[in-house]
Amino acid sequence: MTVHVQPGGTGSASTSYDYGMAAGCGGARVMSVERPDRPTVSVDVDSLGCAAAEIRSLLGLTDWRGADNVGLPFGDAATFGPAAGLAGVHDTNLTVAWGVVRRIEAVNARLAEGLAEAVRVYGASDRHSAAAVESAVTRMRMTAHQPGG
Amino acid sequence: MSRLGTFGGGGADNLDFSSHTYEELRAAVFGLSEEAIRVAGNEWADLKRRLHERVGTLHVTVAKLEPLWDSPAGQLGLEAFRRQRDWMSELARVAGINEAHMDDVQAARTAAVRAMRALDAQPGGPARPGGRSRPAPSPGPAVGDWVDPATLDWRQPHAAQIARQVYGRLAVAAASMAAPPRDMDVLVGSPLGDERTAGEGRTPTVGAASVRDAGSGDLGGQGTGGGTAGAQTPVAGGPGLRRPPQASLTPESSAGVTAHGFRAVPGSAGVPDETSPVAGASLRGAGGSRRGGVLGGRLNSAAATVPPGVSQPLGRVLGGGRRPPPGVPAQPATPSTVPPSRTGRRDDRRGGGKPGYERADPDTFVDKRPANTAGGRIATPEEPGGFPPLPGAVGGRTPKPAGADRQHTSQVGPSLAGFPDSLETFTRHDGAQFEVRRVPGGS
Repeated sequence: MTVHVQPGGTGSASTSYDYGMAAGCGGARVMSVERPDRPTVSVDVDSLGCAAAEIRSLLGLTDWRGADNVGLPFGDAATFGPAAGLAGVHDTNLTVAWGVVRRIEAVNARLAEGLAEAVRVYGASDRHSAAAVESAVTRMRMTAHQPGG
Repeated sequence: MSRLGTFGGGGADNLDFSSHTYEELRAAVFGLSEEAIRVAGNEWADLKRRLHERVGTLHVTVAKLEPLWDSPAGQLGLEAFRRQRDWMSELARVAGINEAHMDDVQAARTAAVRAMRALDAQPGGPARPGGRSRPAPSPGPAVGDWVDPATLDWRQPHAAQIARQVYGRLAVAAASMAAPPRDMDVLVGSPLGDERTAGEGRTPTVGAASVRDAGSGDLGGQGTGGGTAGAQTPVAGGPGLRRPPQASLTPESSAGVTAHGFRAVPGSAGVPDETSPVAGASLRGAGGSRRGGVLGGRLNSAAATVPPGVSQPLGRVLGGGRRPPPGVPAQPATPSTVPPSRTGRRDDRRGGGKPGYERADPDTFVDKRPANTAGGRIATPEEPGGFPPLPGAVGGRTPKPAGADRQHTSQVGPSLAGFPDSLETFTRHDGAQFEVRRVPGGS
């Protein structure tokens, strides 16, 4: 099943489309836009949907609870200085790693949500103009280091 | 369980525990917590494993989506996925380094405890029972009440050695542990050769920065505020950070990169054999081309320094014409005295585009210095018993005394194999003796 969004003026709708295949992994529902004045768009919506489901497996990194073991002493009072020094460096790096893990998890969640939203927008492309579809996907906060969600 | 290398003792050599008594050293070794060290190593290993799984997922996903999501928005989205993959790869690499350090510390601690137990099993005392005792120290001026601990227990020096080994390993690990990359800005974009040392070689200054940031509270609180991290965190990364050209980023997409506009070099963060399962594909041979360039450069430079007059096995003389007969003292070559040759003449166009040592006149170097200025005899191919000198003997830069080290050759000219049949012995210009043995029946 192919969904074409023909180029045209602002607000122009697609001229031909049909739905005959349910969305599913391995399908070939393609949203394509050919615009002579701008880069073309060709998106396999079904495959994008499968990838969105797979990306969900990125989540759960915060199950690593390494920070719970911060502060474990490497030696008792009889040990010499290098033991405490190593424990201090280890604890610091562990704390930093835990903060990094939380941020990675947040970014992964944002990427997964963004990809799912892109699939939804591309899939509904028959009700949008070509320019509106592409603008909607571009505006989505899929990229990292964006405040908020 | 990865190991950074064998630890044969020593570690930090500047540790000195000779002033501690045997009991103190014993307590210091046995006081190291095996459980805490093992837990620390396990934490890093667990983190590395979790990151590896996700990096693998991203590798596969990005590879799938690249041909399927062909649009400007898709390029931005895929670029975000790649950056995330590189970030996790770098964190996994750091976790692997720290895991290896903790493994080494655990191994050192185990070895030290075993050695200390063996030492404990032996009776103590000032002198070793049944063995040679250390000579009594020379009586010197008394220093208060201090007594050399080595005189109290003969095991003390051995215990000090054991303690130095294990605590040296702890000190090395503390100095070598890698700090996790807080965000994309600190990813190293240097070639492969630097990547391995980027994390390991981070000195305590990086650790100090970590301590400083730990105190500032700028940790873990940026879970949803990641956009500010790039602005707050100074770029503390190594060399090679690349800023993408701003012209390639649309106004909407520029918000997607960090505040500094940096992005990681694809495949630059991971060490293929430690982190990303499929990271090898992302390393686009930067290391290989770098090494190839260096090697190629070395070969090229070596080829350019081939001196003229070097003879090949078939008797062809590179860069030179026919050699004067033996017994004739070598003269500085002049164009009028050099017989014509197929190669080596400047105006010989038959070869076309010859390298420098062939373009020059025979018996001269490319820089117009005459060859064979150091003297020596040069045999011609038709000379009876003549034998072409070995490479390096002609045109040597080391001045030789007149008439010195004349080659002891026979009077038969060289055969196609390069050695005349009657050649028996040969003395090189540096005095080395060569003996020619003919194998019966050989070709």
